[in-house]
Parts: sequence; structure tokens; C-alpha cells
Amino acid sequence: MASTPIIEKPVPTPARPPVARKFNSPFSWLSRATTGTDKKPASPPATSPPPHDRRNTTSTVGSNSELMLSKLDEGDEPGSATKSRHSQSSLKDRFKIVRMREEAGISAFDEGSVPEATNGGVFGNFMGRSASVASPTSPSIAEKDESFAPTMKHSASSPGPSPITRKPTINPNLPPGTVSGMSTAPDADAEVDWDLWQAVVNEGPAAVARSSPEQLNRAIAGGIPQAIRGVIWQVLAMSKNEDLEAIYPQLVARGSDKPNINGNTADGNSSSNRSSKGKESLASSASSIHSDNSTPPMADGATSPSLETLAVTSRLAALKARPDPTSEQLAKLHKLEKAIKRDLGTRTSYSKYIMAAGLQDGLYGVCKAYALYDEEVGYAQGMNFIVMPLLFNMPEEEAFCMLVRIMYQYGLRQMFIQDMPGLHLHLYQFSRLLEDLEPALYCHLHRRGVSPNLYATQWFLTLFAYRFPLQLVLRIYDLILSEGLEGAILKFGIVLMQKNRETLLGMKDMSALTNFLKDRLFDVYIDKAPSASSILDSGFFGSALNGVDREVYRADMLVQDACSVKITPEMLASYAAEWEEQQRAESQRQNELQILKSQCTSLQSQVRRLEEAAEQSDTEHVQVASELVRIKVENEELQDQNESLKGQVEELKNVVAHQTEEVEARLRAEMDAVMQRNIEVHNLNRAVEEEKQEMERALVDTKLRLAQINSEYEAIKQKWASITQMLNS
Amino acid sequence: MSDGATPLPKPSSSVKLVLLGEAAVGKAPNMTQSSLVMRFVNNDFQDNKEPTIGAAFLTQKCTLPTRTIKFEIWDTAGQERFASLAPMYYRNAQAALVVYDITKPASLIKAQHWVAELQRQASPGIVIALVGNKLDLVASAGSDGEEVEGEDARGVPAAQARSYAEEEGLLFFETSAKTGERVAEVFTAIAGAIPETQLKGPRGGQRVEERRVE
Repeated sequence: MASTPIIEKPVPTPARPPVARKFNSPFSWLSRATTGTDKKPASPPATSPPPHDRRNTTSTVGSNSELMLSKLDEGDEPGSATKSRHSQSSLKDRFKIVRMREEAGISAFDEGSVPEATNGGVFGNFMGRSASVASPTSPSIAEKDESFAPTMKHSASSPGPSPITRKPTINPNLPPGTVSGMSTAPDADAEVDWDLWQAVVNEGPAAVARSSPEQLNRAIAGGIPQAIRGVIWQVLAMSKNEDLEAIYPQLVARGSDKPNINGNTADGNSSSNRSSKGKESLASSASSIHSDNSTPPMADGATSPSLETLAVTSRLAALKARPDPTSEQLAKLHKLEKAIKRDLGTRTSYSKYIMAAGLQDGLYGVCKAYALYDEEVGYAQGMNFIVMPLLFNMPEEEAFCMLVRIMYQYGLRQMFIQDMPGLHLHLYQFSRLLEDLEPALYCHLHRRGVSPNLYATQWFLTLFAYRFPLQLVLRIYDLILSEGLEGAILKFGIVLMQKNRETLLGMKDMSALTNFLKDRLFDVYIDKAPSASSILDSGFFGSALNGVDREVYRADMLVQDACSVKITPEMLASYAAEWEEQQRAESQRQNELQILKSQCTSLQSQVRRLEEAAEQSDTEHVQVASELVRIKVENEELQDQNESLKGQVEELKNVVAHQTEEVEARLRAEMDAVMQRNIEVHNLNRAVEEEKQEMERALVDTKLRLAQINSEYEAIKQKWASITQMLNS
Repeated sequence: MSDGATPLPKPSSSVKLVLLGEAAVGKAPNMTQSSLVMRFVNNDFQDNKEPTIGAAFLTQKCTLPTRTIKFEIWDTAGQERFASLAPMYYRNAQAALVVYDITKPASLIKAQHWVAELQRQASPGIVIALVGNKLDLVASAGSDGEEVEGEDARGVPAAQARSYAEEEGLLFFETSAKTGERVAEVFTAIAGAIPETQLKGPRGGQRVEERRVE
């Protein structure tokens, strides 16, 4: 970084000396005392700053320095002296550097570098180049330097006699983003309470929450200074875990043929982690130290940090012991990589920020590493949106730890596991809250068929990062990490509905309502007359590419409004219980329905069988009946026949009775006739016989006569012969 | 949609339509189901829009000879993980468009699951259309795609999908969101298939009343 021209922002404010200061200047560390006194006057706006001039230079001026700083550990050459620290103290150190730098009011860029920045090159460089930042971080130096602070304070950070005049002076004509402004906006009148933040870092959020809860709440509600946001987030979530960080490059590299593709970061990480292995146990104990004091976010997980640590270590062991992936696993891995890559680039949130272009590898890495780390959840669309705001504030391996922490400890995981029970629960809670707090609006939407399911799903699954402006989302993350996921997202959801109540009530059409709920809900927080400082804030991540999203939002108001929404854990718990009850009832109903359905089908089949049987017997009955009819008819016929036959028989009997006499008479007559005839024939016969005897006698006579004749004939013949002989002779 | 010459405004009613189908996994910048809708709504094809979380909402009017139908389209996220959200969107829907990729047989199986779920859980009488998208990738096939299939990228024969659709009583189309081929046809057919009686349901009727009151 020493090579980068470090020039104070050319601020017209005369009192501000254009001092160029090196980052490692030991003098810029400010003492607790100084800030304390500085804060007490409460800085009444003597010079009436513009309404939304919400910041003094100490917090606004600055750079992406914390991003660089967060690279310190990883970027340093192996063996550097800074390595032997455990994670908690590294966050502390980082915080100190930032505080030092912030209070000194040094900007990382001068405006001269801005044109390059908009070309997108510088950001990329600067992400990678941070390795060269020296390490002024050893705590001892910082402590010693406290004595210098008062003097430095004056020259460096207070440009004039009155602190209020230190409003950031920017050319308001510049579009947001062309200036390297800082952070999303602590309040105008609230100076950054470095002591408080330092206490948070050093003692842990739980301790601070106990000792000065109001201050902490106010500070968080006012916005964590952008410069230390990444550090504070990690402290709040207690997410730093070097075991996880160590495994991260392995997870990212898994499945790639050349593991050294990611060599730059991977090697750096592993070396730095290797050197800090000895302190790993401290990291986990550091997180468990605070586990007994339940800060709000830990309310749900208060008892489990050590359990979680155990889970993490066992998971890590499992990951390390993993054999080489089989081809099937490789194919799966390949599919996963493709799915993640599909959602990179312009398909993710905030791609319009120049800085986002340099974070795509990180986004890919965190998504892939998480998917491999938690195979039950894997990668689901929505995660990519959640990771992006993290990456804007911390290096990728820390973002990974953070994601793991948010998933497991804050309950985000419940929204992403199969069937998404967490999401359904939160949607129900939201719906019930809306019903209770805004009954008119609830009814209005309900009547038009616009249920929370339809619009709030996107909010909850992406922690509002899907459509909402980054300025607001970072503040939402602040609250989520400090208050817990459930309460924060519900509060923001409700407050947005409340703020838009009148507009929504005025809309009658479902599609208008739906589109408004999706895209325009946060417009109520557009700052119509943005102050210079808020312009600065909005431009922190580089200008939006197409000039879109130039709006400046009143993030403070949003957060204040959200905090003022009264949602108590008891309410949420009761809704959750209601939901569970409903779910149980629902599943019971489902079961019952299932049973009834199966019963119904069996009964139906029974009915069908019975119907068939009935039908069959019906047809049989019909057959029988018709048979009967037929038989009856037949019967009658037969009876008739019978009658007639009887008559006939009678007649015949009559006939028969008469006939015998007749026959006898006739027979007798005939017999008589025959007898007569017989006698006649007999007589005739006798006459014939007599005739015959007579004829026989005649015959005998004839024959006698014949013989006489014959003998006469012979005698004649002899006489004839004797004559002839006598004649001849 | 173009014959604005009718003297009397046709009766108009709104139809809730839900779009289901597997995520276009793996295909480089190519069309997802939602592109089908983008094509229909804007007559436009966006190659690379942000992934849908939950569901995206769109509306489009469709003019039939006898009436005008306003589609309220819920385009659901395609990723498997979001399947449990789908019932929120197909509840009360009068029509559903189940999309698959004609180059990927697995996507038809997923589509068949959706059809089964709709038939089981959605309101009875829902009009379901099965749409095989990416017809442009099987360019050699004719517009019907039946005779000339085989050697190219096609993975699902049109005849197979059509016979399945006929079995289940679904409308069936093959489209290309990229070229716009037959996209409008799908929606016109759905509009035509919704029974007149359904359109006079509480939602449509309520709307008319409201307008009169105003």
C-alpha cells in the first residue's frame, strides 16, 4: 500500500490540513480519553448542518481500509511476526488499526485515483495488493502511542474549532460512488463511539450488552461504522474460527484438477493458518467464554456454542479424513459447481457495484465451500444473495465462517434445509404479526389474494438482499447479527409494511400490489435531499455501473423504525407455538384425510361390489319374474286345453258307449249276412260237385265210346289195307 | 390482441396461472421456464436474468374472440429445494403450465411429478398444459417434430410426450422461448380451455363489482 499515493481528500474545508499520512504511523492511535471528551459536548449543531449531514469526518472519510486490513493475515508472507495470534486478538488488532486510521482521518484514495477506480481496475488490484500493507498492529505499539493521541487528534481529525463544521465536503454534483466515501451512516449527531466498539471487540458483545446495553443498542441502531463493520460483525456473531478458515481453501479446491488454481489465496491462507494452529483452541474457548451471557442473538443458541464447536471439529475431522473423491462424487461436484456458476455475475445481487466484479471468485468459493461443508443443505439459490454483503466486508474465508455461523447459530439453516420449515415458520409469524399490528392492511391484502407468502419469501430467503439497496441491507445485517435473525427480519418486514400502509391501502389491483411489494417498498426511505455524507455512504462500493440505484436511502430511519416495532420474543414464541400446533393439526388432518381416503376407497370398492351383486340379483329377479309370468300364461293355456280335452273325452265316451251296441248290431247283421251267404255258397258248391260227378260219368262214357270208335277205326283201317293190297296186287 | 375495432368491450376476467418445471440445470445461458413467460409477456427473450427466489409475478392479457383474459402468472423457482414453496403458488390456480426440456428426458419425469402433484393437490378442474421447450435446439425437426427426430439433440420424442398428455388429459405443446415459436399459442389454448363457469368465480366477479363501484 505504501506504493499507492495516499493523499488526503482534497477537502475545501480550510481547517483541514492536507496531511498525507502513512497507515503505519504510530501516532494516529487515539486514546480513549480523547474520544471520551470529544463525545461529551454532544456536538449541538452550531452551524446548522443540512438535515442529513449525519457524519463527521472521523467516520466518513476513509477508505476500504478495513478490507485491506482484513487481508493482512492472509496476505502477509509466511513467517511474519504477526502470525502468532489467535483469532480473537487478530480481530482486536484489526480493529485497532482501523480505529487508528479512522480517527486520524486518512483516506485511502485521493480523488485522483477515482477515475481509475471507476474503470474497475483499481479495486481488483487493491483487493489483491493489500498484502503489502505493513503490520503496525502489534498491540504494544498501539498502547504506547496513546500519549500522542491528543495532539494528533487535533491535527488529524478535527479540522476546525467546532467539530460540527467537519462535515464532509464533497462536490454534490458527483454521482454517488465516485467518491470513496465510507460506510452506511451512523447518525449525524452521534459521533462514533470508538470506546464502545473497542469494548465490544475486547470484551465481547455479551459483556458490553450487560454493562451498557442502551449504549450498545443505540450504537448498533445507529449503524456500525463501515470501516469496522466486518470486524464488528464477526465479533457479534463470534464467527471467527480458524479451523473453518483452514478447511476453506481445501473445500474450494476440491474436485479441481489443479488445486493451485486458487493457489494465491489458498497458499496464503493455509500458511497463515498453519502458523496459528497452536492457538486454535483459544478461538473456540473465546467463543464459549461468552456463552453464558445471553446476548440477544445468542438467546436461541446460548447453550450451544461449545456444542457447535464440537460439531465443527468433528465435521472438520470428517472432511479431512475424506478419501479421494470417486468419479460419481466428482460428477456431483461438477454439477454443483455448474449450478453455482450459473448464479454468478449479473445474476446475483449488487452486481452493478464495481467492487462486486472482483468478488465473484469469493462468492463462488464461499457458496461451493458451504455446499460441501453442509451437504444436507448444499447450495440453494438465495445463498448467493446472502453471501454478497458479507464479502463486501470481509475476506472470503471469514465470510465462509460467518455464513456457517449464521446458518447454524442464527437459524438460517432452517430456512434452507429440505422443505424449508424455518421459512414457513417465519412467513407464518410475519403473517400473524401483520394481522395483529396492521389489521386493516392485512385484511386489504388478504382480500386481494396477496398473502405474505407471495412477497416475503424473497425477503427472508435472501435476508432482504434480493432487491433491496445495499445501503439498507448492510444495516439490516447489523441488526440481524446483534439481535438475532428471526426478530430482525420480522421487524424489518413489518416496518416496511407499516411505512407503506397508505400506499398499499390505496392499491386495488393484485398485480399492482404485488409489483409494488416486490420493487418499490423501500422507496419510502429514499432521501429526497441527500446530504453530502449520505452520498458518500452510498458510494462506498464503487459507482453503480449503469447509474442505476443512485438513490440515497435514509437507513437510520429504517433501523430506528424497525427497532421501534414492538416484537417481543414471547410474541414470536407464541406464534411459533401456534404454527407448530397448526402444523401438527395439519399433519393430523393430513393423516386423518389419508386414512379417510383409504377407507373411502375401500368402501367405494365394497359399494361397487355390492352394487354389482345387487345388479346381478336384480337381473335374476327380473328373469324369475318374467319366467313366472310366462309360466302363468302357459298354465292358463294348458287349463283351457284341458277343458276342451275334457269335453272331447266326454264326447268320445258318449260315442264309445253308443258304438258297442251299434257294432254288435252291425256285427250280428253282418254275421247273419255272412251265414246266409255261406249257406248259399255251400249249396252252390254241392250243386257244382253233383255237376262234376255227372260230367265225370259223361267222360267215362265218352272214353268208352272213344275206345269203341278206335277199335272200329282199326278194323276199318285193316280192311282199307287188305282192300289196297288186293287192289295193288 | 390486435383487433381493437370491437365496439363493446369484451367480458374480461383474470386467471391465475402457475408455472412449474425443473430448473434449467447446466445449460449455459439458456432459457428457463420464465423465459417462456418473458417471451409471452414482453415478446422478448432474456438470456440471463437473476434467479427466481420464491416466485416471480407477471401479468399479461390474452384476447379471445369472445372475451379477454388477464393472466396472473406466478413463475416458481425451478430449484428442487424450492419445491415445498410451490403449493403456496398453485393454490387456487386455474391453470398450470408444466414445462420440460425436450433435450432432457429427466426433465419430463420431473414434469410428470408436477402433473401428478397438481392433480392431487391443486383445485379440481385446473387446466394443465404440458410444454416441451427448447424446440430451437432440435432445429432439424419440423414444427411438429414428429417425423424428423432422432439424430439431433432431442431427448424426448414428441409422440411419447403427446401420448402421455392425452392419457392425463393435458394440453400439449412444443415451443421455443428463444424464437418465440408457438409460445402465444400455448396461452391462447389455455385461455380457451378454461371453462366459462370458472371465470365467473368469486375473484372475477368481485373485480367487476369493484370497478362498477368505482
